[in-house]
Amino acid sequence: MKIVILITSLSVFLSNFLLSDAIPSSELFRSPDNFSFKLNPSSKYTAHHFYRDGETDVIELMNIESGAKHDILKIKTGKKSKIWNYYWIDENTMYISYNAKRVFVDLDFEKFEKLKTDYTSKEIINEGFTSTKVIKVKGDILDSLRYNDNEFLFQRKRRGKSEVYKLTTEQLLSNDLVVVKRFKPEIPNAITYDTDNDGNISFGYNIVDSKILYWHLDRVNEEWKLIYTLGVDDFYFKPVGVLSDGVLAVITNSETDLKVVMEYNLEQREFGDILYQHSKYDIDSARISIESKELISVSYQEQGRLLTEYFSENDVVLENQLKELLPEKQFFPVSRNKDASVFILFAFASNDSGQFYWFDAKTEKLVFLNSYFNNHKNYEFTKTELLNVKNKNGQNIEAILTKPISGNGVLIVSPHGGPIGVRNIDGFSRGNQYYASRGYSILNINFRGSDGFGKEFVKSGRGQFGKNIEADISSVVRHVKNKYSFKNTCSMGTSYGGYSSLMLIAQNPDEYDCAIAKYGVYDLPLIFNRSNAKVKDRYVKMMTKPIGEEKYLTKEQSPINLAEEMNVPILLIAGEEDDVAGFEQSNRMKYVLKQFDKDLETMFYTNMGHGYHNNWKWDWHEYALIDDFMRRKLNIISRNNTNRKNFEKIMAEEAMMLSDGFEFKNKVKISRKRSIKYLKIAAESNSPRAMYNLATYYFDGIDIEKDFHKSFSLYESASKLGWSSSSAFLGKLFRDGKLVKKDLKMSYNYYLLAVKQGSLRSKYDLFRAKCSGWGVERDAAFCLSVLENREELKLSNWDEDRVISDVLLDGWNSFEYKDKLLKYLQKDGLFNLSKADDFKAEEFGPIITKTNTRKLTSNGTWHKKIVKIRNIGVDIRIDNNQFDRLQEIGLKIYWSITEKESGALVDEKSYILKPKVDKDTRVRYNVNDKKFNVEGRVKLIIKALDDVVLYSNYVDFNFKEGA
Amino acid sequence: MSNFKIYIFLIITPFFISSCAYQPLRAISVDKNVLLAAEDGYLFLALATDIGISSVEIDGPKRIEIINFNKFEKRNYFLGVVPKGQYKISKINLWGNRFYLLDNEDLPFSFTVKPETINYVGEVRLKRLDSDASIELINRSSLALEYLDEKFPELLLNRSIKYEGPGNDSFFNAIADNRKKILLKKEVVK
Repeated sequence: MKIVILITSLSVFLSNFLLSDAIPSSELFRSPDNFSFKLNPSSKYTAHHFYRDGETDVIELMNIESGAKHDILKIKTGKKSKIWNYYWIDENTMYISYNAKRVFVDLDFEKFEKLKTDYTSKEIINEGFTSTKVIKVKGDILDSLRYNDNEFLFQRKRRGKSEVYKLTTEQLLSNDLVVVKRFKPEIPNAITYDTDNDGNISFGYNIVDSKILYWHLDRVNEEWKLIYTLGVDDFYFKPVGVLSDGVLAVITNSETDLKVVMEYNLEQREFGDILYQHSKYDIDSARISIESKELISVSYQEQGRLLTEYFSENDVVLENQLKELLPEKQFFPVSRNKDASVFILFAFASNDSGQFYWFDAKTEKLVFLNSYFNNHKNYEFTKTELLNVKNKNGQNIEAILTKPISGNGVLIVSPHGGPIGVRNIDGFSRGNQYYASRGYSILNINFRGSDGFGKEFVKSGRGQFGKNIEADISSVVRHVKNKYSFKNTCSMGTSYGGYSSLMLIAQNPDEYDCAIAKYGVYDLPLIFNRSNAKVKDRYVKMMTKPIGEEKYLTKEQSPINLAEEMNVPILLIAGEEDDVAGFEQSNRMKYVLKQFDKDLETMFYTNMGHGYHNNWKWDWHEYALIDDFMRRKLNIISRNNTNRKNFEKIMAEEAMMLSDGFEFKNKVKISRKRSIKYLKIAAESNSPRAMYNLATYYFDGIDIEKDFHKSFSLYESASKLGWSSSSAFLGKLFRDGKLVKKDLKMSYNYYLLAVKQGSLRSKYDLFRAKCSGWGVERDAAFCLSVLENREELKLSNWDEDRVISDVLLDGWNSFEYKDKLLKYLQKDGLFNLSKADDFKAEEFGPIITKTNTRKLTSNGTWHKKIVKIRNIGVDIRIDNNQFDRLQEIGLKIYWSITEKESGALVDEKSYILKPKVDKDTRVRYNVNDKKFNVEGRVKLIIKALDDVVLYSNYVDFNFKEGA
Repeated sequence: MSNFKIYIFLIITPFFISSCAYQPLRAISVDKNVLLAAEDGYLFLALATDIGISSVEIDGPKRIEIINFNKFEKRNYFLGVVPKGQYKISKINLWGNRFYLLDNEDLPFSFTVKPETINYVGEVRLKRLDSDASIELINRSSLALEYLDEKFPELLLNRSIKYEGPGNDSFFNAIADNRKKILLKKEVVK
């Protein structure tokens, strides 16, 4: 018994220990690496479309047997630079559409097989085994008809009308489509065309007077025949293949509750026998054999998992083989050869984002090709559990629970959007895996109204907003809570899910601890009254179907009327350009929740619609925001069994992302306070960048109380963690002696550290220090040699001026290479040295003061704001015959600001000014209104380079804000 | 939503000018009740666009022209006093003698101004498309109310606000009821 317990405990310990840690959002929310594989007709070769190193879009040719692979096409990806699509036209010809080009590529397999190494040409098209012909006619391939040798359907638009041609590559390349037979007549304003079991265009659809018209192509007469008209309120109808002359196989629920495969007679326009019906689920797709014209297979979602049922004995054997080879995976073919003996399969599961396999049914050989996401092999994803719960009407409600082994005690109840005719499936969900990796359990529910369970089930959800739909959800939540224990429960959803999230917390105040409502609707009558376009009958009718008539909606069905009852923290997320739910819905909810002083946080993204970000970074932002919200509101620290260091790193990165969001002008409104809040969180998680940024805020005292000690300590910590900007700033502090005791040795060491940490800028500070002997022995020879080779060392004019100023201002008399420096300055004509005798007193004017308002980038931030600029200046005009007109001369400028009352030094600066002779120059001192908050005395001393004072004056100035 | 074609203004006759003169809506800038006649009401609307607009013409008991747009603002609000009655936004003038006629009968831009109240009629949203534009009158009551809360709190205390745009909406009433409820609660606590 003891041994059993020990083994059990050990396995629990190990399973927890082996658990993957929090997965960074950037690892989940990104584009896939491998997009597709397509077999050529003989299936000996496959084309593979993928991203190489995240920046090159590639199509390569592979020989599966030999494993040889070489690039056919590769392009550097950009906004408009990518491969759009590609098809096999015949055994060795491909059509590729990329950037603004379309080409045929002929492949020479003999040459391909002889290539020894991967071809890495810099050219766009690999010439090694390919020859390319550019297509000039505008348009695109409609169907490659890959089983018809060198024939395809080509579609183009002329004068706003769509024309379809059946062509060969030669005919299209001849650019003269008039001579070839047009594939007509096309269906007027066709939405799309569809292929039959032969892979040929056989079906087409268009919409006339709000009705969908289904057309079938009569191949003998090459004309389209109307086969079915579907109204808005009618049933589902989808042709899937030809069974015999005049008889189609269709998926429909016209005569049944569930979607079934039925015969459809074209002449009589009548349904015939049911070919297949599942006992519980709607059929999603079906295949008809090319040869026997019999039903080969049907696919449906069983408990949200894709399942394909085969009918021929051979296919069943094949299916079973694959099930054995790919246990617990859902899979479907993405490419197959003509006799369906060779496949490319895509296999996936709730804990597997997907893998491509090559499968030969004759040899039963399965070869792994590639993963959909290359990086996902580094993570262990959470498996789902499927649940069945009876609702109060006795209907079976299916649900999917994603529950990590080591959870954080929080259950997220996540109703889907729609809500009618939409469903959750048990596929790989990035969002669920993001939360599960942080310890949250996520519950998805296919409540009444969801798709896939028959007409009656869909119908039973209509008009049940805030009623039986939420009752179904609550039934499942109770079931899950009876089975597992959770410390906290939150509701979260998008669109209808957002609505439902708030309804759930209002209806079940004791069940929930927080709610996250995204891009939702919260005032149902507003749906019918949101604009002059949306009050029209057609729209009202469309919306009445799922919601119910406006006049029958009760106040209790709209969260906006239940705000008073909502007593848990709420996060509202919306897009200001959301035209689906309407931004007014979210803003209205915010207004009312604020009225009742509820615990509310909002994130209203600008330039954002109904929840679809145009850049992965904003998905990262949204997920990090939600995780942070729940973490704070529920006091979640971290899971017990996580790798703390890695966890902290991820938390710090996400907090920095949120801070940056509030700092920079983008999709989030700038809020310095919220930015600082996240900087503090990131700094606590040891982010050196956060420490540095936060230190800067404390140092400047902008939107946070000025605190030099906190600032200094944060700079030190960031420096220790390797943040070079921090080390450099500390070097500056000790060099200038501002707020710390001047310590040139310390300053030098910090600059040295900053250079080691990668700061290029600090190389210049080290150079300055060496030239001036600050904290290190002065190396005049080195200093001059750097100046003389400044271009080589990439020293800017400004850097050069600064170093020369340092030398001239500080230590000129002891500079060993004075003569050489003089020569250097004069040789390059940089400027003349000045002596006191060269100047007259009247060349210096009085001190002038003024205040300007300017929009500029203020201290420590990247966004522009209006600031008041205090200007203090003295106009000078040197008109001395000693120098050439308009030549520059050097003057030493010393500014200092002292507090008027105490005389304490507030600021000082000195530099070499180079005014031009015979030209007005203003000696300026500018400071923005936030820098000093004192009544001060500003003193200016101007010296010649021989240190004789030429001018000395002061003015009293009130620097206090608002003065 | 419907698309509107752009027109170019070619001929202007003196007669046309004299007979169709629109009076600029005098926008209220001070937060106080300025209603003088009992037959007048406040007209309150917003305009959101990314196109340079010179004026918006409104037909009704008084022909009004809305001018003075701040092109740097994403959304411009206008609050002014007009005689009660039925109005219709009829034309949006752009810079350079181009304009949109809001004459699509299927998409009404009409509203009522009731006396002695603030009549919020919606937000005219004009989005430039390739060759034309989409123009819609949208109900954004909560945004409008936030604007009044900030700029005209006094006026809001003294005058009731009503939604007079497309369809029906009881949001303003609900907000007023909530205010009463909250006040009552506070009094009970005291």
